[in-house]
Amino acid sequence: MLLPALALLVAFTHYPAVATFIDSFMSTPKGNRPSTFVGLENYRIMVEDPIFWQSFRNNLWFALATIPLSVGLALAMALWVNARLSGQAFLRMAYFTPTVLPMIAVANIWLFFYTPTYGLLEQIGGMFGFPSHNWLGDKSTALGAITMVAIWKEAGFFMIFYLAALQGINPSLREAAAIEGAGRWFFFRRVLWPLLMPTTIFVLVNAVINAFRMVDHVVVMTRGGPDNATSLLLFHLYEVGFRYWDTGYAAAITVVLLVVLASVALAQFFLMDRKAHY
Amino acid sequence: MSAIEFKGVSRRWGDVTALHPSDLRVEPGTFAVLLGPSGCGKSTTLRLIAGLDSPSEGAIFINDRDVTTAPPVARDVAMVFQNYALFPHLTVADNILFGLQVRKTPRAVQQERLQHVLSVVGLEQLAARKPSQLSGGQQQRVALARAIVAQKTVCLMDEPLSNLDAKLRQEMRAELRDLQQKLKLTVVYVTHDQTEAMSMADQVILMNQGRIEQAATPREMYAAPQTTFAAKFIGTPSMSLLDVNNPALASSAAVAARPSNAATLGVRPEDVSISREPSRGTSAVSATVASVEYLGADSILRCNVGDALLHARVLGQARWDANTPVFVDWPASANHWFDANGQRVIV
Repeated sequence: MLLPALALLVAFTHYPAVATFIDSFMSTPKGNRPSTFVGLENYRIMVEDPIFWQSFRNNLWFALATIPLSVGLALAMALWVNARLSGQAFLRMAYFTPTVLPMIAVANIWLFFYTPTYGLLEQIGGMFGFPSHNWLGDKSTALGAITMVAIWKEAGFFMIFYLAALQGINPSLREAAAIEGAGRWFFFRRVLWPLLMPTTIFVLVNAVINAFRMVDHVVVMTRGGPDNATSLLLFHLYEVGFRYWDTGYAAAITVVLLVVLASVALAQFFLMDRKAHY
Repeated sequence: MSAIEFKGVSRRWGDVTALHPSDLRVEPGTFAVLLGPSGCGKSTTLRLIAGLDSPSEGAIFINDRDVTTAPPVARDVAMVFQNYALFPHLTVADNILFGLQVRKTPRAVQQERLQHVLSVVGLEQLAARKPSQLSGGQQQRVALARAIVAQKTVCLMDEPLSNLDAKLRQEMRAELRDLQQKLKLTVVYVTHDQTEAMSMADQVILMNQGRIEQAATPREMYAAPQTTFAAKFIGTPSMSLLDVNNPALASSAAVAARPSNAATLGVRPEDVSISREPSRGTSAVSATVASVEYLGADSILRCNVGDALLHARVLGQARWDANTPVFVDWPASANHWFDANGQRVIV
């Protein structure tokens, strides 16, 4: 009974994972030279690769900015649209739109926003007399610009989870708190936030994974440039693996990426689960 | 002085009227029950008192203070919700102390009051549990403890016993009543269960379709229902209502001597006597036993009088069979007369 599912799982998940792990200890096969065992050679290359470290740093900053901002924004938007107000359905849909739109299209729209001289940001800035700025072309602002796009996209997606959780909370809890005189902030801190904790854990794990999985915006908007300023780990991995065809080294980066993600996710679950009420 | 007073209070949502302009008084230290079928406006009335909803018109007074626009916290009320509204992530102790923590009551005072209410509701051993680890009855006690720890003068209860099983409900009824007496609370209690209302209340406020039908003590309500609705709602089985023009009643002396504007005659089942032979007087009405409901101590007979139905309560030992022709009679003092609009006719 389990066989079909198991076959698919093995073929597309387990086998590639194991194969990647093995490949990371092998040299990249060339036309007349098969792959050989090279031990930790690929990992040594990685440690000495300045672009790897640059991507790693970029990715850390990217994660540090996108995760708290998108989750915070998601929670704020969910609390807002959860309240009974007119045009609620429209608002909810508006927030969720970024998640529905294809990433490539989204990236192109933002590309237009950021375009120098005639882009949207430039036109608005120009009205107030700000000097022209090449947001994606400047090393100091390119990563920030990409981060903004990610926050915009993620926040709407996470909002849906928070909204679902908020809708599941018994409305008489709010009334009971109101009778006792609890203000909005007290109610949020003492009741809503603890009850939303399971959602927060789930959202945070997803946010971390998404932050390290980001590649499509980078490909469309900057191709990692200028001067690797927006190169993220997965983009670097893609470059190494499919542009330079250095599969052994790419496998090594993949292993590192997986280990980092798995340990962060596990740590989140185990550390925060103890404080969560289900 | 009154604990709660409504002056022409109504509540409307667009075209829907949940409460027509109503006046209402609840005396301090009394147990008032808002009784009525679902959708009659009793919960709306309770929420208006609590301040969870605000009236479309009229003024609400609590302890002689106008609180029409005051938020719930400024009304000196506590509330027990139908689903208890316990905070699922907080312990019993934290649930009870929630309000005191909001008001930043000193810790020593909090602990003292906590111990006191825990002993009042008998939950001393369970203070560290979460609500999910408690039975329904225990959760109910926690909700009660949370309401009384605040030491408010008015306690509102929205069908607090409806989620409990029948036996527990009966126990809790007596307990609630004792607690109300001991703490001298003013309680406003919402229920659709007339037995609950009759057994607990000092004052029953019967509601129907957004109007207060009658507000009276349980005894008054039972002895002299002011409308046919009140007559039908109170009592198990309720008062039988017969059209005075029913030809089968023609032989009845009571009907012959009816007030001129009476359209309906009401008789309580326990006032009806039943016999196989016509009794000495001429007022007996002939009827047929349609069915018998045996309850042990007594039986309820459903009798056909013409095309109308009359309930009679008889001793349980007496054997009556369906389709038996019988004669029913009742004393003149048992007559309740209602006019064509369903209002009681005062004789």
